[in-house]
Amino acid sequence: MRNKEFIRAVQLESGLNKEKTALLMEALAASISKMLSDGDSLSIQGFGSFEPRKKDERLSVNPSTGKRFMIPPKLVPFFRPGSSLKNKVKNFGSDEQ
Amino acid sequence: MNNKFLLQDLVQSILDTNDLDRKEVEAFVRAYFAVIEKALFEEDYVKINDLGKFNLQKVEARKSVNVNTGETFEIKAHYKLAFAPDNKLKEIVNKPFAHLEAVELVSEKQSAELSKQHVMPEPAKASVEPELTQEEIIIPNKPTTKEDKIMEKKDKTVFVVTDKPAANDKKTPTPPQKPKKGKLLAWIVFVVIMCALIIFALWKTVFSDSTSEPAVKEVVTESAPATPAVEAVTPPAPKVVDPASRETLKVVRLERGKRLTLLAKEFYGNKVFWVYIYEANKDQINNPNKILAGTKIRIPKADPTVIDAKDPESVRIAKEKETKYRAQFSK
Repeated sequence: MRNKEFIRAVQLESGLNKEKTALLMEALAASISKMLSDGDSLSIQGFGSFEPRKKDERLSVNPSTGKRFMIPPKLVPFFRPGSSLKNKVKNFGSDEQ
Repeated sequence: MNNKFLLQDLVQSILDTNDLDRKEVEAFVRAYFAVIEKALFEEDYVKINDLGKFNLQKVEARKSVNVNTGETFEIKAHYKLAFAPDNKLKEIVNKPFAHLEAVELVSEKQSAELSKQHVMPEPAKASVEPELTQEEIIIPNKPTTKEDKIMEKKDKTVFVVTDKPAANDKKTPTPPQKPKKGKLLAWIVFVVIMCALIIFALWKTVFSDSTSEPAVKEVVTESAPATPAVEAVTPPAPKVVDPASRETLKVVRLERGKRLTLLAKEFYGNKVFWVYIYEANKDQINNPNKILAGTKIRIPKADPTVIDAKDPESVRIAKEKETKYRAQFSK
């Protein structure tokens, strides 16, 4: 499902008008970004949680040139599905068959 | 930092930036996540601008073993939910580290060392040589019983074979490692130790009065790194000691081309400490710039409060002395 389709689906689900949905879409993404960049995590009941995670620095070698690089540490946004969603996803295939 | 926010907090945070109705926002947020969930099962993936892409990934069936019973069983094929964050979100989150860039490691030696550490320990490297040499020289003053000899031999063998930087720590014996290529080394070291013990025994019978003085021998140190054979110090020819000097680490006969600074670098880790070697041998040396080849130089035992290559203060003091002597003898 692409972004446009998603917005439309949310609009139908929430019963809000187009303008408000578009506005809220942006506001929500901005809020999540802000929380994660502040080092906070956000957990949504029944869905999962978003959290920032630190990846340590590492040594990497370019296989073709043999050059060695020290890759700096970085923070990445991470999503951990909640257990109910995880189980639903896990059993997704077997339900179908 | 490190707060755990819930859906209500998210709603509040959205409300802070907008003048919308709380109920509407709440309805929207709930719809938002509900739609993601629903869409996942209908279309496998959901892409949301500025946030990322939720994706269903298939995990193939695989065999696994029950850790407790040892039985093999099959993990059935299933799906898992993956989330790939949008580049924009990634950038925002990574802002504290954004200024960091991948650095190419240019130094060959450095990278070689790193890889060595990662791959497997090999017989000692050139960089460890000074410490090893010094280690060999400090031979404990124990009665030379047979057991002792054997014990010492074992200790030293282990020491030479290990490649860990732990070699810096002289007092603690390095954890035993399987000597693989160390047979030759072990022999050389054994010979060296035997020589040293014999000298020690001889010396003890001659100068039985000063008991606490360490054993002394001469070491020929030609700079030839890399090859392990040279590394292990060519067998020394016994040399005479000055019985009066209680703190002598060892006595070296100066070779042609050898300098006090080189000795200092070898024994103390920094060439500026040559001043202390000179001070200990003032009676032998008229001019530290011109010493006759064959002069026996007494290397004083390093006093850690004065001679410490890692302590900038002691290096500074030594440098001051150095300039003093330089001025004295350059005339």
